[in-house]
Amino acid sequence: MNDFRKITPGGRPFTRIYLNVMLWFVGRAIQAAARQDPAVKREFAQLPEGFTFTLTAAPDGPSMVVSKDETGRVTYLGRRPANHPLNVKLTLKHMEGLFLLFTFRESTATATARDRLYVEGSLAEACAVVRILDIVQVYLLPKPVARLAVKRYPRWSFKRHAWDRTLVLLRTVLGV
Amino acid sequence: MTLPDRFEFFCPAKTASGFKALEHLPGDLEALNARRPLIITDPSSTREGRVQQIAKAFRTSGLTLGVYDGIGPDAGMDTVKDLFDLYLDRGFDAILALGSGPTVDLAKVVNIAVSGQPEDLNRCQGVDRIDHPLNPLVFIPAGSGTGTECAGEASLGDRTYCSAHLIPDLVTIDPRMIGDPAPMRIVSGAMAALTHAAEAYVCPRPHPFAESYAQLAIGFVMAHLLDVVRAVMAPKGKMARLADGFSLKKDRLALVNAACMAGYVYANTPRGLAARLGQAAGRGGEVDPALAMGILLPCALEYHAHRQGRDLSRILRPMVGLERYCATPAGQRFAAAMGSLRHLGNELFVLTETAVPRTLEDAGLTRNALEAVAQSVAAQDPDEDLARACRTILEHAFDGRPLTA
Repeated sequence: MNDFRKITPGGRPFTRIYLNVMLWFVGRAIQAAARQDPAVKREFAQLPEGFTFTLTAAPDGPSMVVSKDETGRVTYLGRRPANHPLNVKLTLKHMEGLFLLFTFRESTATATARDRLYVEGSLAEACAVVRILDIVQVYLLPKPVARLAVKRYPRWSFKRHAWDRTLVLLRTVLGV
Repeated sequence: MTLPDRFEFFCPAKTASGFKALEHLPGDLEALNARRPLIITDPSSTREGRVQQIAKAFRTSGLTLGVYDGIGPDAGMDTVKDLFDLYLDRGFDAILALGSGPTVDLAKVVNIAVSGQPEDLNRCQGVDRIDHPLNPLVFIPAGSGTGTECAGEASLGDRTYCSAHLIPDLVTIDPRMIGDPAPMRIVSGAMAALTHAAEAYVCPRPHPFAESYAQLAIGFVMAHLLDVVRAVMAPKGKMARLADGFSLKKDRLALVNAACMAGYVYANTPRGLAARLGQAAGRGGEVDPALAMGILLPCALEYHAHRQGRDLSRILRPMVGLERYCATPAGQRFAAAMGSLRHLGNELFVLTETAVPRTLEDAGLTRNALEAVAQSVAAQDPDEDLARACRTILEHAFDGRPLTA
């Protein structure tokens, strides 16, 4: 049996660190956008009180958890979905899928079309989450990169592009 | 087409194809309740980095892989026995067959043994003798196979197994797995796929599901084969090859998909005359059976159309697309389809510098051998006219003469 060998594939520590940072940043940006952006406010307003969702990768990839409390306030709850009752769970089938998403080589829509993303929970609520993620990515990324990350780059007013973006970025960094 | 009164189509394989398809494999294996896969492949897969790519795709999955890359051209029952012991001793629960043709056949035979008793290898020979589901089997194409890898067939030496249980559970087609193209292997695989698909498409017993798969397989081969061979054969510098690399990968991916679809069709429809004659012609070993099928295909179709009076004009549609099909008058469609097939054969002959034969004579068959080939096919069928049909088709394919009314 000279031709036999066993392979224990290693992890991807640097990818994991990168994704953890990105998810932390995006989670806080959702929190910030929910306070600043009218479209994100509207999307969250239609979601039930106590609504909690997570974006993660199977089997134990990096995660982010975001929740809307009884007062309508949206909060980034960290990266441990197991600690929270979830309404919607968006799971990429593998960490590479999440990496493609957060290196902006695939949009959420493309990931879904390529069968990389599955949803546990209400589909209508999951679609609202995807729309929120798209808006947040437009806030966070420069136009050429954001065009790769979202299905359709939106036509926004100058005020929304400049002023709101500045505030969202500021709120994201400060966590307020 | 009209809906037939009754038909069956059995295709238990899930096909995952395209960009990063390999990364889905751990999740798909889990769905098959498999946690310890064994990769069975040939040494070239390790040499060319394919095994390493699979290992990369399994990072973060938490699974451990076994790799056996010693499948050589002379692998037989001794190798099956070694792999049987290895599989059971190390507690594997699934096989990933990486490669094409003989490697996949051997993996299927190992799967028969490990899913039951070693005695099953004798008991299950023949048609439909496997009476229980087998352990999960994943097929990862590494080049242009003939498509029969996706069908419920396996042969090893003089043993042949035929059962729906042999169809792989999962077929993962990833561009990273498709190795350096050897033109003759590409053409050979594509010709076998084209023959199986075309003969299923015009099968006398209409089969809507098989026809849909066959239509796509024919379209992919006709649209991409010449581009692949042209890109592979053209003398180019490193930079030009690099620039061509992306489109070449896409074209090759289309051919591998076509082969898999032809395999699903092959598993669900009776063999056509060109496929049976091609296999019989290749039995001696002097002629590549797949290339012989490609040569025989237009003659077999012409026989059905002109001598049996069947209307096969619709075969033009998958070959040239709907627009050109509609632009061709009904009376010219069959001739145009045969023209396309012969053009493909002749172009391949030129592009490969005569390596791909246009006629059975080019392929190295002698005229005296034709009768034996015809007899070997006719002997398997009670139809009295079959021997005459085989002889006519073989003679026309030998000379490269179109068969007219």
